[in-house]
Amino acid sequence: MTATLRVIDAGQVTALRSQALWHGIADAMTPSEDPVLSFCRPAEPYVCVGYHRRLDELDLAACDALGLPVLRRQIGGGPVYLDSDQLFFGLCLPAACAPSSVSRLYETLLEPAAAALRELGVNAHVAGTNDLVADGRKVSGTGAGRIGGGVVVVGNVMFSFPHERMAAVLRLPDEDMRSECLRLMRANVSALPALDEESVKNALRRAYGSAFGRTALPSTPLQHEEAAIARWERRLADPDWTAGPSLPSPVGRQVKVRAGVWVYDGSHEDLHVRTTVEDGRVTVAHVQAPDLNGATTALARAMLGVPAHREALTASLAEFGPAGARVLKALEPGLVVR
Amino acid sequence: MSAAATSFTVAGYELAGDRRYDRDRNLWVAERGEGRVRVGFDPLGAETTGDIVAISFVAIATRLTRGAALATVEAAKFVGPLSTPVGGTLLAVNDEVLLAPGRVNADPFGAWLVELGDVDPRDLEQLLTGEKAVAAWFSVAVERFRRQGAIAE
Repeated sequence: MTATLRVIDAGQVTALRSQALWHGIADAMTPSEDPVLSFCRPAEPYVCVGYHRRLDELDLAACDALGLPVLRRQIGGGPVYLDSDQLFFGLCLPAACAPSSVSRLYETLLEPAAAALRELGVNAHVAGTNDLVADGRKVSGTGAGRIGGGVVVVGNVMFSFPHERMAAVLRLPDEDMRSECLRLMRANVSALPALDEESVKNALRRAYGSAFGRTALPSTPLQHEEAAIARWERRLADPDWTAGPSLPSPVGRQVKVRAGVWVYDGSHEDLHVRTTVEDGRVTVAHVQAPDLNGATTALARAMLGVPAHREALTASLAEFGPAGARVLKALEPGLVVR
Repeated sequence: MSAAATSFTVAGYELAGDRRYDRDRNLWVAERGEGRVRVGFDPLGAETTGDIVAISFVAIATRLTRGAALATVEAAKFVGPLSTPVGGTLLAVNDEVLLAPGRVNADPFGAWLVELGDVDPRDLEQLLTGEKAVAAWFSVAVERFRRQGAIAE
């Protein structure tokens, strides 16, 4: 008998079920089960945060005013705005069958998604471990995790994306940073309006079936999967779950837009620094310190074009002596990209 | 390498000679007397997990049996449970690792994760100890990960 890839297409579902679906399928997975490819589209918009992100990264009043519920997922990554113009796909397989390192996992489980988009004429490839990028712009956000007996990789295909709404739900130090985030989102996150949902689903079925050497067959959740999905619906709706695990307060504020592109706002004592990084290099830098008047412009200029790595920035700021070291101290937490 | 009284090298990795090793989880266990141990990733565990950006732990005083989830670890937007190599009661977590999880990748033997008390001595016996046994296991593990493409040649 030919090995199969079960394909569960849940169609349009509630926000809660759009998350619970693949959490439950993964949680219920047993070592001998076939992998499952799932699809769904949320009927209503919402905001979703990764497992290890603090709720204070979000402007909860803005979410409330926009009528956006907030859900926490048990995979990684930052806050995302999700709505019915996005198709979610989730590939779940028994944990024992998953590649043994995170980098190999993404290579194996995201390359078929990139291949599916290429089949549809989108010049997509996997970039920076786990972004799906086409022509320099992110076209799909992804995340992964081990949930119960399964390992799941989840992504979305955006048919349209309201960059303004995404920027509006973030809690940021000021409106200048929001404007900068919005500029970067517009430049680096792209929807695929020319694609239609059925074509994308068919291409993903073919690509994952081929990559796994399995026949993709339509399926519905089995009884134990339905029970797990219902359990996850209850868990995801629980305010204690949404509050998340106990995490230390972040030192500064970082917003990652795609691999190699982020904004960081940080301070060390009375020195404040804000940088934009694009394609791994500092493209915008501002330094403020009351005692360094006259030198702040030169300090900021010294970072422009420099790779956003500690070693490179240390070298470029070395000529400024202790002032350069203070800038580096303020900037350092923002060099770890989440 | 931090906190290692003696060390030895296997397949290019420096291992601490004063630890016990969990062959299934790529974790080390350091005995600290009176039924207390510290637990951390071995270099292979740290490398295959990827650049760790966040760790959260179960509550202090939680009683854990061997294999129970001790923490949740995130690297490259992958979130997964970390199970304890020995049963015991969670006494402390390393605040430095909480604040800067990347320390685990930079210094796996220095960056201990948790301290457990009332450890079941039978669980300790399940772990590998001694240079000869550890080296034999570790070299096979490295070869397996290399074959799978999980670590560099």
